[in-house]
Amino acid sequence: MPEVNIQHLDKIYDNKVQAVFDFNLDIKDGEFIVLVGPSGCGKSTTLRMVAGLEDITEGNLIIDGKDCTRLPPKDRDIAMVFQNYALYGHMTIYENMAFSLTLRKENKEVIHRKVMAAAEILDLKSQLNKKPKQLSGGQRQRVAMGRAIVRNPKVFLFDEPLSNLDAKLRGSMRRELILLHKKLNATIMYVTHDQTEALTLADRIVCMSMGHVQQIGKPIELYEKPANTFVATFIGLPPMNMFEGRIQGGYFKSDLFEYPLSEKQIMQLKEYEGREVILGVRPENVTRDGSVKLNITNNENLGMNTLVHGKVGGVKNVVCKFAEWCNYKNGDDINIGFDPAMMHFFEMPEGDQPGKAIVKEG
Amino acid sequence: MKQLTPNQQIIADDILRYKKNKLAQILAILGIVFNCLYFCLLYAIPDANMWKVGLGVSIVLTLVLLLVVFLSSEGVKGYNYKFSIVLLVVAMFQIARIFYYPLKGLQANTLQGIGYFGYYPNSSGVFFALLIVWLCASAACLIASAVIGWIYSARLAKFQKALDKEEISVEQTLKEMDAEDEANALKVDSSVELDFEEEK
Repeated sequence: MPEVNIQHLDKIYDNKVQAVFDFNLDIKDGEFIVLVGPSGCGKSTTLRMVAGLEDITEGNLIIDGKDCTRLPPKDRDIAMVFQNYALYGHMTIYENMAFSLTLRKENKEVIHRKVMAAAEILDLKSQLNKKPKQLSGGQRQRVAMGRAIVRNPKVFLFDEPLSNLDAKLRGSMRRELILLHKKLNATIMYVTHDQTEALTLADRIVCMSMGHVQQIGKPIELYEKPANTFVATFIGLPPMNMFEGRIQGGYFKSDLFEYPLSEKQIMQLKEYEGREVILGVRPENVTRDGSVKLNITNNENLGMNTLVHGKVGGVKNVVCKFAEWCNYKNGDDINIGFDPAMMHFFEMPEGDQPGKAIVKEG
Repeated sequence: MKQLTPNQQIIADDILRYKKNKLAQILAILGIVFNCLYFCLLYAIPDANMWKVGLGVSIVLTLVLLLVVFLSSEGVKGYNYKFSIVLLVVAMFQIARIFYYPLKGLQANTLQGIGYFGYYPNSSGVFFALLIVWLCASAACLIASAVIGWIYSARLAKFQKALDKEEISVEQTLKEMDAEDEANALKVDSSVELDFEEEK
């Protein structure tokens, strides 16, 4: 499997709208890259540029050492799996999977062996004589993957392949995708807006917003060390709680509360003394032994943990995730604190740009 | 014709399980097309004495024949040998029809003013000869479809039987072929290395 180098990729449409700004990424051999971001952030456009379905306005695309920037899709040796499966309804599953090879006028025996091998991997052998409409959504998506596998491409591209499936099926398909990646050791670019998919599938995640890459890193890096306020709030469910305030005299002071900083945090935030910053705390890092008063508005017991929604200072919505069953009533007041090792500090946003991460203890 | 190895033969037979017999189907449909050409020409005969009760019977017969052949084309497509027999019977019927109107007409050679999609044969001889040609072509297509359908369905049935009895295994065959390919690839690699050493 080859490496993919994407250098300074820009996409500007005919109406002068720029969808992607200076996208750079080196994908290693056999790496599973997930592009994640909200709708309209440019992730699908980037994928389609790699596939050759969109023209590249600026920049270079190099696949396996070969410049593919201006090559037509058929010459790039890539396979793409779409959200809507794009199967031929009048063909059987076997014929669907064999279609691209039949077009290439491959030998029938070769086609059969490749189709059977892909069907074996995807557990589709008993479905080969059926038509797509006779299969479930998950099976159809597996057929779409099978069609990509038989081509043995250099790179697999997945454009939100699980979005049409229900939550349960999506979970099982996620596990199947992980196994498939291990079996094939394929280089994969995968687009999703679902952060759970991104965190569970990716070797590295590319988080995008408004056409810009916000952060590239391993899932744990994006979760524990978000580069800015966008990544901090986008990755993680429920999203990170953000408090605006300033660093003053060993405290984080907001209009709603004051919170003491650890010695290490004071040292690290020395140059921000007196300046406005944003404090970010994930719901799972909120503790029940602090000085911040939370007025509870909603209590969601999820079995293994409880989501407690409330307001700090009667204004600011805060979500806490406690790892036990809680029975708070609406209107109850509790004191909360923050795990010092998991407190994130960010600079204030400038214009459209999210606030950059300052420092995180640990 | 290329001789297949036993493994290749198994794969060729296994392909039948997943692909329809489209050749037999197309031939049967062609048989219908030639039959249509036949009756379009036949019903253009303006002789009032010729078409009385016979016209109605002929139309019903044609419709039944078209339906039966169409259904049989779907049957042979799915490797059902019974439909090959039906197609053969219909083909025999087409051949028998040659000896009724067309041949009698050809021998009598009395027809005048025949219309056929704007084409007017100069002589009734040509007209009846065309009828015979269309019937022959239809019968030939149906026989070919039946024979091909029979051969492939028999082959598939035999293969399926062997699979059921576990005399052969497609999985095992595929593995063996993959192993053969790997061994061949290794041979090529080592021969390349040897050539390289000789050059050195």
